[in-house]
Amino acid sequence: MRSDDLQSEARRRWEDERLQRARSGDRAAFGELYREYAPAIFARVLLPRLGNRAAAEDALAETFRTALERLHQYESRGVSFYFWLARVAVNKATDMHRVKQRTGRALTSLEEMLGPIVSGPDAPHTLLEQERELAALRARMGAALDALNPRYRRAIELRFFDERERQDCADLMEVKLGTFDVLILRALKALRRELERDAGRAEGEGAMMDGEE
Amino acid sequence: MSDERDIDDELEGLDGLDGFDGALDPDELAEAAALARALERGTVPAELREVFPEDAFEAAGLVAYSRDGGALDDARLDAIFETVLAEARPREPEPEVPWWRRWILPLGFVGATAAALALVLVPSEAGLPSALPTPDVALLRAQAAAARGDEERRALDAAMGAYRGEVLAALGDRYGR
Repeated sequence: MRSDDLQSEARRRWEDERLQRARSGDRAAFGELYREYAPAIFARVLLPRLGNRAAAEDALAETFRTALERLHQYESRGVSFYFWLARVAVNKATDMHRVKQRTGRALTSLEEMLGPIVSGPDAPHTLLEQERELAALRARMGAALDALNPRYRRAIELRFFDERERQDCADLMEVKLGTFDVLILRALKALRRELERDAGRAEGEGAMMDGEE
Repeated sequence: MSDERDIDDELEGLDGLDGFDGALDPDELAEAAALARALERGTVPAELREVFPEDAFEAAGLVAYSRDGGALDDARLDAIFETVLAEARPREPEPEVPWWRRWILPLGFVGATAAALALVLVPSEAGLPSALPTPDVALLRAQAAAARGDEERRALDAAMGAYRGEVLAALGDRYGR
């Protein structure tokens, strides 16, 4: 048996043991499963499908609430509990989109733009792979930001990287608050266009490399 | 800034855009207001939903994702788990059932079915009519003679009358009349 098989066998035993305890009402065991899988469900399933952190956090809570209530229905069938949770989470995200007109929640999907870089919920996700993917995404974002008008880049950096309040950003850029709102709108639209151009270039290069082979 | 303050009010007297970023139009002002609201509160008011710039909101989501990869810190994880535990209504764990109790229902069902089938398929002694008296030789002879036409009808009627009396007496014994 290879080392990764051994690892997955050990993981399955760990998971089964906690599932069994959780089914008999042990909240601490369910908490261990939550700690293990919630970060990946949030980062790889919910946030890319909702594009809104607060909404993704609500969906995460809903996912695990449903999981806890329906734990007796879960059958392992040789695959990790993570995939069952991921399916529940996808359904929660879909439900949120369905009712967004009524709730007024601002939702979007990052899947298309993240797709080529960040693997979805079905892919294996070691910490190393996650770090590699995040580094690739940052490099692409950095290149797109560098291509922007410096004023737009500064607006984005202040608001999203420095996480400053809008008024604070406006003061630092020496404009009124309303002006800053328009600036950030234009900056984000310009960034989006730049990312799309970059994705188009990457696809073209990929097609050229396929042609050479 | 107060949360209650209307973002539209903040868009008065824009400056710093002319000659650098291009002129503004009212639609763009409305988009900027919708985006500011969505980024700050995560919602879009009904009157701004038509103009909500999803492309810009998506770009904002990508910027945020590239910053931390969608990481949740321990405090947020714990707070969300508290919500899960507070709102969940988990099923009570089922008590251990002894093995014989698992079988008692199916076995009972099989037994009841077998009993019902037996009632339908196996003839019951009690359900059969009681044994009737055997016709005597005189009656058979009278019937044979009547069939040949060489005997008077009256003799047959007499023999049948006697036999009918025996039959009625037997039935009376059986059913108590």
